[in-house]
Amino acid sequence: MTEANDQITSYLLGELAAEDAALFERRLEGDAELRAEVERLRPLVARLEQLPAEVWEPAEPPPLTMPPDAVEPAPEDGSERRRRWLRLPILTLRPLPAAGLATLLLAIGVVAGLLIEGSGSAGPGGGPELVLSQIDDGPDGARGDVELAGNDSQATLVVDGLDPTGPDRFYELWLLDEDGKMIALGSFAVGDDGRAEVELPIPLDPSRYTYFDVSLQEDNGDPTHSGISVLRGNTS
Amino acid sequence: MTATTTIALPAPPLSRRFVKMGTPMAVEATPSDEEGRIAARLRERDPVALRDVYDRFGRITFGFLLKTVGDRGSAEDVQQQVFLEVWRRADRFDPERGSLLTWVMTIARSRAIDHLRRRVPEPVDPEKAASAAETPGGPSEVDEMAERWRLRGLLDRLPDAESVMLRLRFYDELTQSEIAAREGIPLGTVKTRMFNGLRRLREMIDEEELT
Repeated sequence: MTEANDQITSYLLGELAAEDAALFERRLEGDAELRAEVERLRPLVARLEQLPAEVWEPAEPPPLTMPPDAVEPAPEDGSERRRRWLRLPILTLRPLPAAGLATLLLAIGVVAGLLIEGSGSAGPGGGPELVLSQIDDGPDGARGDVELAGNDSQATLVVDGLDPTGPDRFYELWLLDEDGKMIALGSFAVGDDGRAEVELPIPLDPSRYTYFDVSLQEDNGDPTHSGISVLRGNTS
Repeated sequence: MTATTTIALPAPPLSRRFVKMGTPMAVEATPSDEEGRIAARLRERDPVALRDVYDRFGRITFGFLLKTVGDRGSAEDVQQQVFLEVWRRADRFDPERGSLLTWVMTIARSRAIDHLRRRVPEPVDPEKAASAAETPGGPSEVDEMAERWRLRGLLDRLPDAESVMLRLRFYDELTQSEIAAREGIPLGTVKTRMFNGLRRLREMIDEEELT
């Protein structure tokens, strides 16, 4: 049947020479089983031939916004902590601490904005690469960059020279603006080599914010910015 | 605190569930088995199952919606509606009535039609109403597009070796001889994989239509 199967395919794909096709058609006339197989596959071949290019090469879908009641369970141990970057809480600051923290971060931001070197060169992926520089709570020599891709809907964050997070801390990447409004983009751990590279979705236009900010967070369940910024850079 | 949760999702991987162990091909676990397990977890309100559904079908529904509703912003909105509905109506999914793919595509089709109806004012003239169903973007065209994307979903279930053959033939428009040369495999192997891929795809379509 293998030879017959090969012929079926070649026949349906129009790859048999004219005389071979004629021979095959004569064979079909006398072989009901073979004819049934051909007729079963023929419409499928026609459908595949009509599939437009976008079906073969589909567009990238947006990140899934999880329904509010579909929050994944909290990690039970440190090994799961790296998955936290997948969750993107939009934060509003608590009233009293918020005022102080926003002012503090704003003040830091203004100073940092003067110090941060120019950025916006193309990264390895071809997207704009935004430089993050060490800020007052960060270790000397710490640096990082954010490369945006996919119309700024995805970002690759690379950091170097940061203190290891250990089991009880993690770093968080934020978008921060001068009004103290901020959004957490995701968290990540840093090992003994002081380096980390994470990819994360950007759920909104980063140019609506002034800075990318990396904070060092205690793993105490408090989703607000710790006030300990270690890296910061302009969003454009 | 307002909270939302967003997940970055990779492209749905091609199926690797069929394992070759000599001849004939041995089946380790079918895609339907996997879909069944995902559906069961979804019914149990496992949020990770929703992510798995999105991994598997998000690209297909989004491709369909992008083509149907016409612009990316609207397609993204409808896409989120679709998977919100998948989550909220998970307990209504009945595997005896069709596959998870078909169920998700049915929801996507319904939400796409809802979107198109909201966008286009209802025609007052009954004759116009009748013809509206046949105009581009009308239900019949939406159905046709949904079928194309459902076929894509079935293609994703094929073993890699077979889906690659079909892609090279029907997308790259290579002949079987050209495929053999490009892939560095015997022409006979190409023909066998091509036939097996077509037949397996046909069987999946038959199975989907029978359920």
